[in-house]
Amino acid sequence: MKKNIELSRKEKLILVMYEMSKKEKNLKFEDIVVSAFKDFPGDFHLKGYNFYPDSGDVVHKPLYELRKKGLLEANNKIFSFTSRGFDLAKQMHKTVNGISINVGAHRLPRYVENELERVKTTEGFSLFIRGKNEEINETDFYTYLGVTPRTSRNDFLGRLNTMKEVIASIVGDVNNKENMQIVDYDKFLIKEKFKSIVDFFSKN
Amino acid sequence: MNKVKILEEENKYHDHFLDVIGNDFKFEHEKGLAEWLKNSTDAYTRLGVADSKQFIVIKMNDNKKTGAVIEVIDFCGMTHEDIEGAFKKWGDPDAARGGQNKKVTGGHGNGGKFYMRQMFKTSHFVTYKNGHLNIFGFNEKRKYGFAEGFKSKKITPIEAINVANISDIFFPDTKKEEVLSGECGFTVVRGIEPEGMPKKIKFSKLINKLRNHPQTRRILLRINVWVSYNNGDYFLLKPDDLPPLPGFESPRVFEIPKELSYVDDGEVVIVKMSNSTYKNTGTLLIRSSEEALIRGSRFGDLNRIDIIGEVGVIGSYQFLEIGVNTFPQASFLYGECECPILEDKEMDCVKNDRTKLVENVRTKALISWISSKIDEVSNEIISKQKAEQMNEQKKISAAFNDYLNKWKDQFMNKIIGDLGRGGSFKDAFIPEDNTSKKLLEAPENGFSFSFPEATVYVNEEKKITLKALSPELIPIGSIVSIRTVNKKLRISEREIIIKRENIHLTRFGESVAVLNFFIAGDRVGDEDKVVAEVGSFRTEISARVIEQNSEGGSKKQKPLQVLLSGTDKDPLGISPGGTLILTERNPVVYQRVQDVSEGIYWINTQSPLAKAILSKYEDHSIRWRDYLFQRYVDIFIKQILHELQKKDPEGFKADAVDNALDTKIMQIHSLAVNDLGKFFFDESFIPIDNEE
Repeated sequence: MKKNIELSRKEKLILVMYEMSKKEKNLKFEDIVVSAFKDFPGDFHLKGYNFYPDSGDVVHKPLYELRKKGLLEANNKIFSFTSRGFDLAKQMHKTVNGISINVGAHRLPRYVENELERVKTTEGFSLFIRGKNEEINETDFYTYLGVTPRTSRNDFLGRLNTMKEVIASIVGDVNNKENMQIVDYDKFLIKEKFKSIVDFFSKN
Repeated sequence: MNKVKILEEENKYHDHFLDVIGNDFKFEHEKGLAEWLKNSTDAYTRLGVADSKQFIVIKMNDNKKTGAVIEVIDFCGMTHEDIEGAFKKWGDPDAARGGQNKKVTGGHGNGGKFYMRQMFKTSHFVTYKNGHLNIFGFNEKRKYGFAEGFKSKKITPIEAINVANISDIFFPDTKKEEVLSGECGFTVVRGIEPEGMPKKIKFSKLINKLRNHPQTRRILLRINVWVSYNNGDYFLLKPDDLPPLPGFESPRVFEIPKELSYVDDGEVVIVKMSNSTYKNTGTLLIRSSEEALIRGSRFGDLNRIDIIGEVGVIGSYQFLEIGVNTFPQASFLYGECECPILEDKEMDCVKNDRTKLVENVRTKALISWISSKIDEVSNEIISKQKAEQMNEQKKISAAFNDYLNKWKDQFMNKIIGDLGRGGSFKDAFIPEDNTSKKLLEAPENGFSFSFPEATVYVNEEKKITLKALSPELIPIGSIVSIRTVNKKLRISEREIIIKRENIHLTRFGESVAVLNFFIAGDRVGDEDKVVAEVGSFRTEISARVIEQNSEGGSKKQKPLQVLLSGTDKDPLGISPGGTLILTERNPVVYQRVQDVSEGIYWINTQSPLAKAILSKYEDHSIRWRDYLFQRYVDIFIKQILHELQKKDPEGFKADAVDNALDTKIMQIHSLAVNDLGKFFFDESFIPIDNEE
């Protein structure tokens, strides 16, 4: 017997976008509005007009919130999942469709593994594990987050959140020496050496 | 009978033995004159005359008939006993002291005598003291003796002056009075027909060499020596003053270590430079000269180290002969070294003629150490010269960069602005018009803000656009009310009436009222919601006050400014030291977060390729100019990429980007060929006032 699952508007939008992303990675705002209305007309209709979609804040706000969380990327009303967002959407889709999700006791989400692999290959991390912290520069910091100085505030915060999630998912794995080094590297970059850049983006 | 007792007898010598020793002196006249000067100052010292009152005259006269004559005159004088007891003896180490325990410059008592014997056809000195005149000298056969009739001849001072033929010389009244009163005597050392210039004295060359000779330089600094040539005016002879090399005004002083090591025949020998008698190891003092002391030049002889004894120079070494490796920088240096232990008689380091030290392990170790210190100071000069050269080079780089900055300002906005228009090369020069503006679209739900979020620069007004489907949904004349939820932002209008002139048509023919107003905030970080309502329609926008732009383009972009790291001043004033210092690990084109909103890019002059080009070629080289230009292209590409994504995020795909870059880079290269011909191909090109 299937369980009744209560989904929020945000979660419904994720599911809608997940289905849409199977065909096209970059999704137009207007298409999302239409698809959301088609799949969940009760949630996304225009106030007072049940047969017309609402293209206002009902869709806008959740999308921009998902962006800040690092689940979506947005540019001129074109939205796409981040790797983390896509993982989450896939997981949610399976849950909703009653497929049990058994990732195993030690298995990390795919986006986490991808991020960890990426960090391990960076020159900054290599310097860090060799104790050459003084040689680590701003560019290493940006490379760690996968951003540039030109990245918009919301995308920067999104990436910061994603890496926060990555670190949170490995922080208890004390037996994995390399992962623990990444945890230390994250702390060194985000909370110590380049805290001023994090503050700059957070304030602005 | 192996053991015999030898009865000691006095040594006997053939006069040829003097030639053998005399030849070793290899006299040059400046060196001989230095010996005569030293003899005179020693004579004053023996009499206890203060430096300021010591007075010596050098006269040189030449005449084709009578020959050239060189004279050195002092106002001390010798008695017959002095001549017999000291002067006549060859090789007496105490001769210069004259039986006294005073520090004198003279050494073994040979220099002045050998100069008289070896370097003139004839020579003699006329000396007067205590009312007696003696003339003693060498004849053509280099035999010495008194002049006939002038052996301790009792005469008056005035007669003595006349015999010595110095009545016409320049000397102070007080000194003259002392001579005339018999209070002091005088000695005139006279050489006739000097070797190498028997008829004509090379006066200028000789006197210039004398003033800077190791043996006289220090004497001339403290004693008044007056010179006259061919009875002309007298002038005071002083060593040349050498203005120091800028930046090296203070002499470098090195204390001689207590022990020096020296490799002798492959074996390292440790040499002590002090003992119980000579506790002070001494010092080496290296001075600089603004003018290079190059061999053959006016001051070439000064490029040396004088080894100073208790009173005078006991050895002197040209840098070239002691293994100094750092020429030409070393030719800006000279100096002196005081090393008291060298004068320890038991060490036997001082030679008879005092030109060089006796070669032994101690002197070799010292000379080697001195040589290393000279190289050390030379290396300081090299470092400074390199730094100066780099500064000069940086100026050149900055000029080229400035030139490129001005060049790119002419078209960059157009090239970027034309993106997405599918423009051809010519299109790049068509001024932007309304077609590049964002197309008007109908508002979502018939009434909405253009965007759901807005950022506002602190204390700066931000234009907010509200759109309404009018008159279809909302009639003309309707009043739109505007308010903030938290009262943290100021709004320019509380009500806006929809007027006919606000109406515009979309490309699909929809009629949309475009209503603009402004919001502003005073404190960074404040957030608020702006709500607009008309009839049953309601919409809102979130707004946040920020310090400066980090959203990549919501504020009007400032013109791009390309700067050179380590050269240009940081316009934002946030780099320690005034300029941004990058390393080879930073990207070749770099931006800090603060640079983004200011439109600043830095070319990293420390990137591996930049460093390699600058070390192999100069900043002026075409290679370097080309490198700079390529970095500008990099910057163009970065700008183009961001602009493409901003303008057409959906179409931001590899093929489209590739195509756009092909077009734009071709445009940039074409412009460069037209505008920067000299910059690229003329090695001698220098940007002047940024005009080619």
